[in-house]
Amino acid sequence: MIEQKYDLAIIGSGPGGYVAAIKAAQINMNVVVIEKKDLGGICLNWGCIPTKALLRSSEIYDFMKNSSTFGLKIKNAEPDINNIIKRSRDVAKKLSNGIDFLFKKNNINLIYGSAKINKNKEIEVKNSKSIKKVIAKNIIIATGASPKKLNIENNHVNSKVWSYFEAMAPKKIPKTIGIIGSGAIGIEFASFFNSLGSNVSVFEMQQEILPNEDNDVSEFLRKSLSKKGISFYTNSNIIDIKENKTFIIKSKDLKSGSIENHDFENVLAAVGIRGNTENLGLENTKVTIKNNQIVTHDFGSTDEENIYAIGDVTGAPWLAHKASHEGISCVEYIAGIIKSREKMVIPSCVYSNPQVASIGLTEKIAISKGLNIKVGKFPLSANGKALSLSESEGFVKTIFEANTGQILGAHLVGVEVTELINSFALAIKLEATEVDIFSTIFPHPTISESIHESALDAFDRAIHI
Amino acid sequence: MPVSILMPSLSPTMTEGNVAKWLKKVGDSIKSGDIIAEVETDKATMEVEAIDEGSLAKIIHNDGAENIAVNTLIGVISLEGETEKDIELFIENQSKDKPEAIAEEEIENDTKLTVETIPENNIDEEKLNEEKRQIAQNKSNDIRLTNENSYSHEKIKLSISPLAKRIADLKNIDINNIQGSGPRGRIIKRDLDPFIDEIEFIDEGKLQNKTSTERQFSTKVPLTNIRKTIATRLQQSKQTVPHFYLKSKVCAEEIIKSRTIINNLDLNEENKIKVSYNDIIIKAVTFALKHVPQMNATWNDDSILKYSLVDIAVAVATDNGLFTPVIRSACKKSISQISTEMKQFILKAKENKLLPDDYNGGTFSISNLGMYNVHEFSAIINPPQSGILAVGEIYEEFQIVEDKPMTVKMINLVLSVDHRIADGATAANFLDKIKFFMENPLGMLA
Repeated sequence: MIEQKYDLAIIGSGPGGYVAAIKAAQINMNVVVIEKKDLGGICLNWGCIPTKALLRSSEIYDFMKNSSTFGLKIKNAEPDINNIIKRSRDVAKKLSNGIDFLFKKNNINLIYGSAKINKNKEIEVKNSKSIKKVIAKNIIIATGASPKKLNIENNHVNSKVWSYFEAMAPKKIPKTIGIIGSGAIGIEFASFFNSLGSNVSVFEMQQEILPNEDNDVSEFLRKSLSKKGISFYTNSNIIDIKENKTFIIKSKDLKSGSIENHDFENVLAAVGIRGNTENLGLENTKVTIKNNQIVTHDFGSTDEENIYAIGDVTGAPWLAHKASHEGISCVEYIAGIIKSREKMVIPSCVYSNPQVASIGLTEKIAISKGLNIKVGKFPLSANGKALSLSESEGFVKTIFEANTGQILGAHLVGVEVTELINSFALAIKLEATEVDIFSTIFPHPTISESIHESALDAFDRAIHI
Repeated sequence: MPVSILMPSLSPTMTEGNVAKWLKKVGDSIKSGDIIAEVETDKATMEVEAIDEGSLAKIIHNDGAENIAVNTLIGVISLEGETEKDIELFIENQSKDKPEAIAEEEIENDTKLTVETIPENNIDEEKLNEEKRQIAQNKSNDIRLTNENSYSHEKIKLSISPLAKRIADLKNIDINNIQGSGPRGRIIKRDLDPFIDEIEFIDEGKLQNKTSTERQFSTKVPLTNIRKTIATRLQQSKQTVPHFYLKSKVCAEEIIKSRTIINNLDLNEENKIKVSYNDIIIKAVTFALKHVPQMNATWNDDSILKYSLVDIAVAVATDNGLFTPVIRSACKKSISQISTEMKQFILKAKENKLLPDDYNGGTFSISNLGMYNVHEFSAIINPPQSGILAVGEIYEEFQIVEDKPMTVKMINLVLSVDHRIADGATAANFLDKIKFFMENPLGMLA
């Protein structure tokens, strides 16, 4: 067996692992990354990036369908699912190659294979050709997560129910699709298939769709997507799925108790993900695993010395940017560069049409914490740029602490709001107050002016409403 | 040019003060030497005295205005011939001087500008800075404080986030002593967290599941600067100073006898002396400190500072709060001198007029609650002092004296000691010496 020694070994090359590796290389660590499958992990290959490519196609198709709104005549526009998927795969491939380039540039060693940690905290890497032993002073586990399977009694069809992997590369556009779960993944695929002409139904156990978002956002998006033809079944529990030629979903309304059957050509389970903690040899270490997640403390440290974990394998929120951020601070911690932990304020984005972006506390949580808040809301229908784009659906909602003007949360729905949320991330990071937003000059005409107006509205000073 | 009345700075650490009372009304004429207003600082009330003649043209911060930054304009005196317009213009210029809500505050005495890309502003600011210099000059000429006042002209460079600045303002937190943990030492919200009770920001009316009424109060009393100082200092003491306590019973018969003798002295009819038991106890403690010099010390973090002179702080209770004026060189003063000094201090404390010089320093404190019929208590050390003696009431107890039961007058003492400065045996020796001199006042003649 070949033995190789490193300062740092990272298991997994997703947005957590590869970013941590580059950071480590930049500060002159001898670093190795072990990847089982695709460089870039789920995010680049089967998550964030390829879905955004798919959604771009559906968005442009939406424009074409609405071409008359813009005074344009486009006839017979129709989606070609094979080429839509091909484009999505090409984009993913390009980025994955990009990481390969970055690894070479930074002299990062890459080993393909499955990693297993033994009792001496050495990593055995196995692939079809060889077994290598990697010895590293520190190990970062960045193995990510996989789709959760549906938890249904007597379920025989789980293998045929789609996860996002299959939904991302369907052979044809399903006429009808049932989506179980209304988190970011469920809603984005609902939006995608709805645009391409599928008849989409979404089932959610909780009272509202996007249950983690602010109530105003959930309600607004539900109305907006319903208008586009998506059916929502909230407070709804799936009790059975049967497959005949089609799938029959038996759902129970948790409020009324009534049971309904729904017939779909395809079913997508988007009920969350679970950490990839298995087959890593963690039983040989003191690392604690709870609910399929690695339990971590400050900077990703685990209960085992010199073993760290970052990103999805450590639990929610399952976001690439969280993983990258944790990767960098974990490496800086190992190198002794940072010592004090900062509270993370993590923005989140949903690329439905219209988009959703949010950061910080929802109004409900702020109230339940007993905070004295001021809430501002500005509709995009009063924003010139939004009107000129014929994208007047949506709003910017801001929540401030009343005395200090601290920005507690921001919740946005509308066109390209995912590109606006960084303003709030920056403002919160820099500890800006309402006064700083008031005195900032926002360019006209842009959607971003709604940020200004929303903050003004929270203090009853809005100009344009 | 009108004369500005500014919030005075009494010490390098003082950043804010309150306007206690205006003694002149707008329109009142002012003569040199008139007291214009009283300003409350963290420890005392100071009088603001005028040199120039004129009339009070404008009050900017009224009676009771709180937390006004040092060198903020609180009022304006107009000189003869100056119109209302002159005053307005003057105030306008002054307020331009101090823009509110500066995100990144950089206060520097260096008035040279480095901004070259915005020439218009450059000129404006240059002008402003020129004015600033003038005002600074006038300031020292125009208004004199009854206490020699030192304006701090140190070069300060502070970086603080807007949110942290707002919270510091709201909560009256002195940011000068805070080490920022943000990028490049920037003070951010979490640096202030130790100073904030999160509860304060919670709106109780909006708290969900509010079940009981236990948190209701009838009135909310805003903290005076004195109250805040007491709170911070004593909290810090209890949390950081390792206290230990020694108790002792002392026979008070001799002190009582001595006091009667001293107070019946008929040496000088005009200067008839009336000393208190406390004055005698102060003197006894002074002697004990002389005999146990390890206790005549203060804690200095990495060292212990010892003193040759004995400066004793004595707690004085007033309606406004607790003061601890210091009897300087108490070892060199007679009981009657100590008594006279204490009487002056008590009077000043009650009128809120103690000056920093009156209460700064001291190596040891005495707190006497005997007059409130407290039998015995333990006191909190006033850091960096070595300890504090808590004196209880005079009470009677039965003792067997020469085979006969007799009532004897006694006092209970509890000595609190900073264990970093002295150990148990030293402290015990010290307490024993106090007991000795209280029971044998003649020993003080030795």
